[in-house]
Amino acid sequence: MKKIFFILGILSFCLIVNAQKNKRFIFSTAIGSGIDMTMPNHTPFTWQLAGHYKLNEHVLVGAGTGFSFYEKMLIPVYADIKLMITRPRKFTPFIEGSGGYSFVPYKNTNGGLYLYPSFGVQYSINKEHQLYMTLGYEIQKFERLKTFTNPLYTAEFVEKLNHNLVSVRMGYTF
Amino acid sequence: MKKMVLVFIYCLLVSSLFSCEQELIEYKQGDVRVSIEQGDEWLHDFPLFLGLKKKNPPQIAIWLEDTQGNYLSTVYATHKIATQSWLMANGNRRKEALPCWCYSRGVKYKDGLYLPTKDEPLTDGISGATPQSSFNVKLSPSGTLKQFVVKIEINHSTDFNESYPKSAKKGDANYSGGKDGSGQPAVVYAANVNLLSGETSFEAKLIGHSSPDGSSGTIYKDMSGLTTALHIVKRITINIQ
Repeated sequence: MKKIFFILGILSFCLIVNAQKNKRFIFSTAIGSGIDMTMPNHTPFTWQLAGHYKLNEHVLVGAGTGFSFYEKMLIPVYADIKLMITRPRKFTPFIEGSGGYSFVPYKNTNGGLYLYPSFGVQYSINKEHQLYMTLGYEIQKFERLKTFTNPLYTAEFVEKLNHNLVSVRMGYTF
Repeated sequence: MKKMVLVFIYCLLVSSLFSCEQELIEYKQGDVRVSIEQGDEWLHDFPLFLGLKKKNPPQIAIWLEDTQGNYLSTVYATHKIATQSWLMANGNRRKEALPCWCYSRGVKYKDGLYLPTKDEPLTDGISGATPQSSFNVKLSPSGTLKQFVVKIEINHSTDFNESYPKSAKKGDANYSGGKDGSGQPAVVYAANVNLLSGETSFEAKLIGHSSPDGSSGTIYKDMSGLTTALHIVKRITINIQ
C-alpha cells in the first residue's frame, strides 16, 4: 500500500514539475464512467491524471494513474500513447491507447491488467488549455479471496473479476 | 533530462508490477481442495444479437450432503444464479439452470420457486463471478465434518441439441425453458469423501442429469440424449492436503 502511494507520489510530482517547466510536457486530468458489460457489473467512476511528452505535433507519449471505483477501489498505473489525427485546430480528433496494471489496495486481493483504447476529440480553449472527450473500451482485471464460515467448515475461493466496459471520459489538458 | 525522468518512471512502474502478486489461498494439512478441471465444452457460444455470439462459461453449484443424502450447506454458486442477474433471459428466472441444487437446498421463495431472488440473493461469501476456466475451492473442515458427499451441478444455457431442441414445447419431456432456456439439462457429479479413510484423493463421478425444465430435483441416470454437456468438465477431484 505504502509502495503504491510512493510510486503515485513520484509520478504526480514529476508530471506536475515537468508540465510547468517545459511546454513539451502536457498535463491532463479526466473523469469518466461507463457501462459494464460483464457480470458482476458495477457502474464505475474514474478519475485520472496523466502526463505526456510531445514528440511532435502528432505523437504524445506519457504515463498516468488515478482511481477507478468498482466494487473495490482500483489504482491503474499505465503507459499511454496519443496520436493526434490532424494538426492542432479548434477541434482535433485523436486516438489513444493506455496499458498498464491496476493495483488493489486491500488485503487478500491481486490487481491485474489495465487497458483503455479510445478515440476522442480535443477542443482548444487557447494555445495551452484544452478540453477533451473520449469514448473507449476499458478492461480492468483483478482477483479477490472470498471466504465463508459455518459450523461445519470454512470455504475459500478466488473470484476473478474482469470488468469490460464502454467508457466515456471528459478531461482538461494544460 | 525529461525523457530520462519518463524512462525512470516507466522502469519504476514495470518493476512494481512483479512485486505485488500474492498467493491468495494457502492450504494446510487436512484442508480439502475441490478441483474442477475444465473440459472441451467449458465455454459455450451464447447468442447475443445480429448473429453475434459470446463465449459463456457454465453455471456451477457445489454443495455438501451427509451420507444419507441430507443437504448440509452450499459451498459455492455462480453469481448469476445466486443473484438472479441473468443477461438476456427475457424475464426467465431459469429454474432449469441448476434444479438439483435448488431443490436439495430447499429454500422456497415468494414466487414459489426454489431460486434465490434479486431481493434475497445468496450470501455473498459463497457466490462468485462465473469462472472462465478450471476452478478450485478450499474447504477447511471443522472437527465434526468427517464423512460427506460433495455434489457439483453444472449447466450451460441455450445448449440445444437434437434431443433437447429449442423448439420443444412446454409439457414435452425435453422442454428446457424455451428459446432462452437450458437446452441440454444440467449434469450432476458426486464424490463420497471420508476424511478418516486415509485416502487423499476422491474423484467425483457423473451420477446423472437434472430435470430438463427444472420442475423437480430428481436426478435422471439415462444420459443418452446428452452430447456436449458431458464435456463441460474434464475431471472433478477432491484432494485432502
